[in-house]
Amino acid sequence: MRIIVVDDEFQALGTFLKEVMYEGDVEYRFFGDNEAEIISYLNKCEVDAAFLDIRMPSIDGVVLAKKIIASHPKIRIVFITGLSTALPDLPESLRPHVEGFIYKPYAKEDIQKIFNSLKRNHLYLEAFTFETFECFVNGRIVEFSSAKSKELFAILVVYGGKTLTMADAINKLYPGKDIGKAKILYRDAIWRLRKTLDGLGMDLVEFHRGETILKKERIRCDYWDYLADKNEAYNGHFLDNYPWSKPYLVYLDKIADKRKSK
Amino acid sequence: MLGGLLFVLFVPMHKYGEAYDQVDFLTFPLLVLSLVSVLPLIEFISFLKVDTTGFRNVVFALMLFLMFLFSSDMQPLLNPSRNQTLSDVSSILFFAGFMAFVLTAICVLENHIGAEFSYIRFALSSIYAGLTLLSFVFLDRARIPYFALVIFLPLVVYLIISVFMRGEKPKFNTVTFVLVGVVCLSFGLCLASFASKALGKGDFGVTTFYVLLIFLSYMAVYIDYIIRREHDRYMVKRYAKSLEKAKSRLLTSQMNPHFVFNSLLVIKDTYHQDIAKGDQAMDLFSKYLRTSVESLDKDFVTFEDELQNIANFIALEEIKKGKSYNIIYDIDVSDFVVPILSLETLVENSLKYSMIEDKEDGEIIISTKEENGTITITIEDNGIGFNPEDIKKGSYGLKNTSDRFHILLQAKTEIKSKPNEGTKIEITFNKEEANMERIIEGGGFKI
Repeated sequence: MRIIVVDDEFQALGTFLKEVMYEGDVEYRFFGDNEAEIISYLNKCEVDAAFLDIRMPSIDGVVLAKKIIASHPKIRIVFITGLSTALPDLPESLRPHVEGFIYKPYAKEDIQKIFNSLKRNHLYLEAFTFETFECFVNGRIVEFSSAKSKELFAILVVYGGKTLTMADAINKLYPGKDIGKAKILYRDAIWRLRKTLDGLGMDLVEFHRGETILKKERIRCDYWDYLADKNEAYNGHFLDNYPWSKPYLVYLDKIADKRKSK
Repeated sequence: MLGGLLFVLFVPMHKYGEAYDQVDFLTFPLLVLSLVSVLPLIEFISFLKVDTTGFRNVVFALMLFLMFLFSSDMQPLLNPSRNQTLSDVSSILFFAGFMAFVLTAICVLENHIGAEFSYIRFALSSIYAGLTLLSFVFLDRARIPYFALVIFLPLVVYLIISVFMRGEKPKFNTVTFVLVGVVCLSFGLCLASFASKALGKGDFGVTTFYVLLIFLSYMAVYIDYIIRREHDRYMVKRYAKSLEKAKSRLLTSQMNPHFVFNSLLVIKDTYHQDIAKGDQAMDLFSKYLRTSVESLDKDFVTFEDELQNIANFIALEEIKKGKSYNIIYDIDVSDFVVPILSLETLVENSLKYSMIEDKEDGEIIISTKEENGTITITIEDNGIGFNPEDIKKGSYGLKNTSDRFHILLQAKTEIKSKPNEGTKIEITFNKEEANMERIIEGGGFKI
């Protein structure tokens, strides 16, 4: 992926640069507010996204974005700004081309989210289920906002695209808890999971009233591969810290025995 | 007023129909006079209490009153011997009053539609008024039906069109609708009489009763319109003022020096201990500041964004206090808007006063429910609670937030608290009010 970054103050871009470098496969080029230079570069090289400051001494970022879009409509626009500009403040013709906003001072998560959503067509979430449950996106561990929302996601991964009902989830997550309280906690876990996935910029789960379904397309999972006989990763451990994983363990052991005897 | 109209409408007509000359000439003018004299009074009160731009309406009503006072209908009262014929002085006063009335009426209507004053329109109106006057002089001086017909029909049409041309939702209720119908009916009758006379086929006998009917209907429509408009104007003014106050109070509480400098100090300390953690604290604090600044020119945020504001605030507090808070999000619906930093203020309050961090199972539950188009947001903690009587003195933020909810979403806020059991704040409002599009509207309040 190739991006350009336009900002008149380079000092302000330290964190940004660090994150861009972390991405590895991102080719980047910085520009000051020199419009002619930018346009001539865009004409020479194919660029995927333009990160623009809005308020610069010699050009207005929004005007620049319009000019870029006029000649290169495929370029995604990201505004890096200290202002509180949001989508409704932009001219309507520009809105479909805007990938998002990064507000200064930004957190590294804000930048990751934008890169994830730019790359969403070739980005995968990797879920590891043998031993303890962990997920990775782009080589970075996914931080769930609560332990229960992580466990809920683990159930969804194990279900592998089958519908998970609220009753089912409550049975696994909060066994023996008062049903009223459990429902509240379940909705809390759902909400937090949603926020975590939103933060990744990935659309991985369909949330319905009382039901959730995993969308498998953008997920790779060692458990699914094992079932499909694509790997031999199973080592007698499966989702070790979740009590509801016991029956699956028996099932996995059976498969392992069968494969051994073959 | 509607009852009176219906009564007049259903009184057997033949009893009075042919009796134009026998109708009591005292009752009718007195009735109309009393109605006409009430108008300037209403306008004057509205001018004093509501809005100084209503001054022209006072003149408008006063002119109408003067005109009627010197019309031929009043002659039997003022000058019994001359019956319906006008004296010269009365004629001049009547015509002057009439002219002024029409011109003021035009100005008032221009004011209603919020249009810029236009000389062309004013000139056209003057010509119209002049022509009407001439037709009075040459056709028949004392026939009120003509007078009613020629002045009021265009006025009412203008009034109705102006309401619709402004692109506002028609604010006519059923009563108004019925009254407009009655007006139209009466007009039809007037027109018939006018035409029959013009064609030389004799007078169909439109009686003073019908004139009274028309007048009453006009009054009803007019007063209904005025009351509604003045009410709206009054509410807008009052809301604008209290919203402004609430917002500045919000900003003061958000940016209070104690909080700001304390946060900065904590961030500085955190950086000394752990750079990554310092970054995190800095990010959270800058998000907090950004939202606070945005609250100046923004009235609404989406509920999800507000939850994010809450999450940011709590994360910042956790870093500052080195404690961890248990917040549970029991979210059933989230596609609506709330006043910016409203729920955040409530959660902030709850953290400040409930002492949940001292309790092992201390928690705050934020929940939303939707039932029959009504949304209920509940913020509940199981902290130390307080005596509900202390609310008024104690928590400024709580009052301020419930005010903004009320002004912006017509929401009701209910606070239940018991010492040692916790506090529950319940906010209910219509989902339509909290439509997601209100963010794009650029905020503000609607009537």
